[in-house]
Amino acid sequence: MREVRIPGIRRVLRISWSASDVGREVDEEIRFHLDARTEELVRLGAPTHDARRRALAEYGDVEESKRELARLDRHRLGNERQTELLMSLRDDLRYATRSLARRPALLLVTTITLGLGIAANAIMFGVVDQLLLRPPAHVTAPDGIKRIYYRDMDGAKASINPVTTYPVLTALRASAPAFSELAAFSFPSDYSLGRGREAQNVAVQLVSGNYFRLLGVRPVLGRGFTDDDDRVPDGETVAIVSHGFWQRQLGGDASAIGRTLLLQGKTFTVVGVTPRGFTGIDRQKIDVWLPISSIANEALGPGWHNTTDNWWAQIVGRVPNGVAPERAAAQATAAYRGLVREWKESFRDSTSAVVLSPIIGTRTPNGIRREGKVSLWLMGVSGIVLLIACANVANLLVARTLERRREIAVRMALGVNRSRLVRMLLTESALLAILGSAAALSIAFGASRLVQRTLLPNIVWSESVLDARVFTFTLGITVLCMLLAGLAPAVQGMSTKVSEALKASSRQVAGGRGRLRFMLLLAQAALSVILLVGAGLSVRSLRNVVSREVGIDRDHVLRVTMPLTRFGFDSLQIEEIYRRGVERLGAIPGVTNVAVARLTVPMGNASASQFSVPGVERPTLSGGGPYNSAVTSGFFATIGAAIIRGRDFTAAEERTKARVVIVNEAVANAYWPTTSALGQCAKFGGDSVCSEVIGVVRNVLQFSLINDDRAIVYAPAHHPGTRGARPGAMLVRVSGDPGAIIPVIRRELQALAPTMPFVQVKPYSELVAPQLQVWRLGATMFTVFGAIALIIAAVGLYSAMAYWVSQRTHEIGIRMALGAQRSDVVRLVALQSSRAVVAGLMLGGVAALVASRWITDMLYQTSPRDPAVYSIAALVLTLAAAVASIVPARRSTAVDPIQAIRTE
Amino acid sequence: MKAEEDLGLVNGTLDLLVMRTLAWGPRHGFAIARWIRTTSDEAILVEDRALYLALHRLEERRLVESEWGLSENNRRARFYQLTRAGRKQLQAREEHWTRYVEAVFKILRSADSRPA
Repeated sequence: MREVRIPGIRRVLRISWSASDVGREVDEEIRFHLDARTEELVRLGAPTHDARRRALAEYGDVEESKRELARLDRHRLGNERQTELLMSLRDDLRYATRSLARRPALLLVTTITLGLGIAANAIMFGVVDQLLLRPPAHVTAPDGIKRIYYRDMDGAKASINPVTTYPVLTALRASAPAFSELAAFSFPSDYSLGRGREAQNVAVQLVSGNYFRLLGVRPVLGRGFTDDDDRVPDGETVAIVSHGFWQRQLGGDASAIGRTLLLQGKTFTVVGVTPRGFTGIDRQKIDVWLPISSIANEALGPGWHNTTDNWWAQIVGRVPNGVAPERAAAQATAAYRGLVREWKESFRDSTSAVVLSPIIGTRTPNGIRREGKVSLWLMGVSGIVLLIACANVANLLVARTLERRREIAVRMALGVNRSRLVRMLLTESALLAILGSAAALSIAFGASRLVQRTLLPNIVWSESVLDARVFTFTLGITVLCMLLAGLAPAVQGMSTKVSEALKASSRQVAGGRGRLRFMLLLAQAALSVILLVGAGLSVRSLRNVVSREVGIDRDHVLRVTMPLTRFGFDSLQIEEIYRRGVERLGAIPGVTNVAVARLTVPMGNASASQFSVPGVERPTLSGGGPYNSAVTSGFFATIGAAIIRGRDFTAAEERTKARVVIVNEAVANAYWPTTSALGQCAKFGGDSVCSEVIGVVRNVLQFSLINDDRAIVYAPAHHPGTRGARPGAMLVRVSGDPGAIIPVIRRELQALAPTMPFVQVKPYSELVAPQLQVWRLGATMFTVFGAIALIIAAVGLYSAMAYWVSQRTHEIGIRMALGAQRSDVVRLVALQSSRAVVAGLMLGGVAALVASRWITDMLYQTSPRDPAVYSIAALVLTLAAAVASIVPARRSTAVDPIQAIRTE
Repeated sequence: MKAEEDLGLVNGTLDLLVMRTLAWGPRHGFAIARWIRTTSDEAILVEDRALYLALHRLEERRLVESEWGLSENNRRARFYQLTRAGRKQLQAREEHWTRYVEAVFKILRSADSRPA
């Protein structure tokens, strides 16, 4: 027998509901049986006590039976409860599905709203997880691996950086036994693979022989390096290739082992292939790993293992379980101080120290690296988007609950208990949340890769976009969202008074409920304002960084470098190649200027050597230096740097090796803060004679787009103080599209030195592009999230207004019947919506002002209180609100007074 | 009464008898016991305990269900009735049982003419 199911009505006729009832009922059943049998026997003529005995005998062991039956019943009860729960859950679900299916618009809006909100979070979590939380793939016991940083004094302040020189590794290995292993690795750099026209660039990282052993990375094919491969100073010419390189270039089969690779003109034998997804310690693209000593003589120069002027190595160490990292750090610090004492450098002294940090490179002792910080910020922003989405869904559900007050009241009158009712309402929000998260996962699936690849392209991302961690995270926020969005209507449903609701007509809405909805609207508007302000500020910052005057016309200046020394050209040949190269490039149509720079080259080398001004004490310069550069006349015109005082070098000065120099603003301000630099005497390089300062040039970009005001002194190309300096790069100014000229430049130069494997030609815009990424990431994502928030909030406002109008059809009808004009009615609606919007604007504006203090270090030359940004944010929100209210307002004017009054 | 003197019950037969008894409508345990006793002319004697065990077991298997009601002399008694599944099961078992008994009888009757 199946009862008619009214959701929530308890099966009143059921036997035993609690476990304690079971025993009592079994007792009663057996007692009834024994009594009945006794009575029957008495009726048949047996004496009473005899009859009782016989009944008992016929029954068998009563106590044992009771136990058996109770056990059976309890078991049955347990099963039934479970089924009951499942069935009521199924009923709830079916009921929720059916009632939602009747409102496709609601379903669509909530699914999209939640989908966008949850997707934003899933995407940002994916980024933050890989940037900041997850250790590099395939590394065994990553917690035990520490990255080593060095804290030195730079000027008056301590600087902490991870780059060091090889003798530090040797010293740490000798004197810091708390580390079970210490390994060094270089930044990946471009090496040529093959020769001539077929040559291509591959990313190569130099690593010490124990690198793979320390990380616990097992090659999928062949072997890892051994200490013997990395014999100092000349190691084995062996190579380990990445999984991707193996697939792409070596056919992806076992025969790859033993194949040879021609790297920088030197032959290496492939001995191993790393597992798929291994990208080294940082998430960088690396094709080939080589033992340091296999090519260090060529790449780092002879004597590389003893020299302390070559700074390229990063070191990681493994601290075994049970050894305190503090002890390892103390030993390393002692070893490091022992070394720097010998170096006698002003900025490294007895206070220098070694700092240990987690293996994850974005988490430095200086704090989280910029891309990590921006990602964290964006994750917070995506959280706000989710809050807006939840508020929106909550608002829709509250409206829905209000519409259904009578239905709920009827159910309660029928005896549906409140907890069951709440469960029904929660089931609805759960269903919406599930649909939303399904939508979110599909959005995230499509968009994550896009965000990762286009906004942070220099990071090698894990191959699976949605992994278990992202799923778990999404599930978590879905549940959170369901509780947030579902609780308000549920609480409201509970507080419904049966008698009141039954009496009330459907259009009557209690004031308290209206206030809750108003607060939700206000919150959405306020949060949207915050996001819009954030978006405006970050877009402004990006624009300021992009358009920053860096002394180089980024779009029209190309940097040309040739690996001539590496390939055995001597100084005379190199000078000749550059001399003829300048002539040839100058003749290419579209090339307007060509210049050559030695020593310090923008986005290339930085060379600091002696510079002194008689009578002026060497000032402390941020960024070190001063750096020395030797340039051909016309260099400043070529790169587009303005000479702000004085003049440029002349061709005659270059030819006669005249003792003149040009300083940049940083130098001028540091050495001659109160007087003019022009005409002053400066001793340049190894020169003991005065050079006259003939000009002051604007600071030129050296390494970093922002905060890079290094002091640089420029001399003519063959100034006596720059003896022996080889040409570092050619700088070429083009008038049109550089893309078309780059291959011509390559061809012309390649012809001058046919054995040179490649020529690198890059526009400065490309060289600095990676530095813009993080700004672009911030601005793009902030804007996208701001737009999503705005859309969600607008949809929320629209539905709230539509609901408001529909609830007041009667009132509007009466007003119109009493002579109200259409404009009056529209004003009524507009007033209603503008109340929430204006309050939200003010609240959000104040909150943004307060919150913007924390965003200051994410901004570049942008005030966190930029009034223009705030005004635009307010304007955008107001416009969106107006658009959202127009349709409901127009609908309100279409009310037919007679009809409206009659329906009541 | 000793077990050897009864017709011992073949496994599962008691379930069948109980369900058969319930085929006419809801009954309490005592009524079922009485019905089996009198209908079989006291040939089949089971301990009442076994009967109740069978009833509760059938209920657990959802072949019967129970509810409290009033007995003939107005006492609270637990009434059992067949569920839809129980009804189906009864029909199937009856058919099975009948075929089985017929087969056994055939062999027993031909017992005089020995197999060649």
